[in-house]
Amino acid sequence: MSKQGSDHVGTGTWPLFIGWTLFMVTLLIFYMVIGILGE
Amino acid sequence: MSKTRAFVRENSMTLVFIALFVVSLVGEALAGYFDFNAQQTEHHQAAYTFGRYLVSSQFGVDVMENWQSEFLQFASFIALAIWLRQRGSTESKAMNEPSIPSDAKDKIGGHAGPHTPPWARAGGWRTAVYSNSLLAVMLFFWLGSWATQSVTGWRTYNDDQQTHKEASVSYSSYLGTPGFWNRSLQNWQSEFLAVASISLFTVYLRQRGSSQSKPVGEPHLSGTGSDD
Repeated sequence: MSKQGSDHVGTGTWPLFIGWTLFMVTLLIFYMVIGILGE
Repeated sequence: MSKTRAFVRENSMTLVFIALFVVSLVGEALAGYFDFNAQQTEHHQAAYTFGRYLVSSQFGVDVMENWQSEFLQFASFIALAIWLRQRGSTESKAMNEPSIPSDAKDKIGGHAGPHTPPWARAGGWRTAVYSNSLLAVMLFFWLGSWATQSVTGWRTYNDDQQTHKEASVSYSSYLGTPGFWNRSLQNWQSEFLAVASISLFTVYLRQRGSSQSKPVGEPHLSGTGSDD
């Protein structure tokens, strides 16, 4: 069986998951701070 | 296949939706900016630069009020799909499927396979946490973005009050205003409408080739979400 298509190729899905989650958390906190500080 | 091509191929669904998100957010920022400055002019207030608008509560509240409702949709859908059923729907478990599957079916603890995630294999509190991690993260983003909507909404509310030479309100008073609940509920209603629609429509309607559809020839009330 080819390695491609198996569960363990690891073509960057984990960094995508972490990056996307951190991006959303950052934007959420950024606007929370803007709201609290009043810009 | 090169690493880049493999990455794009294996993550195309996420990547395309991220691209659509970015294009839509930029469009929202531009449209919101022109709309905001038109209102500033109308009220004889100073216009904002685009950069200033991007870091304003006005833009923040518009983004966050939609975010919170999306995550409420996913959180409520994920949680209620544990117990509720829609016979024949792609979005539902089978009628006779237990609400909480056996450890063997979930491949946890002693039933772990060779490639089971470590926290699913560990047992105890780690497996308990990992077993609820999807709902927990959706709830975090719902409550986090709703809180951010409330704070930025409070700022914009008080800006409006100031423009109309009226008294500012406290944060807790803002949470009781019709404005806050209008912003929240107008988004919630559309999310629940969408979930009810996909739950019911997938019983009778088909899209050949889509993972969101039953096979075209599958009987309406059997297959996914049925006893079969």
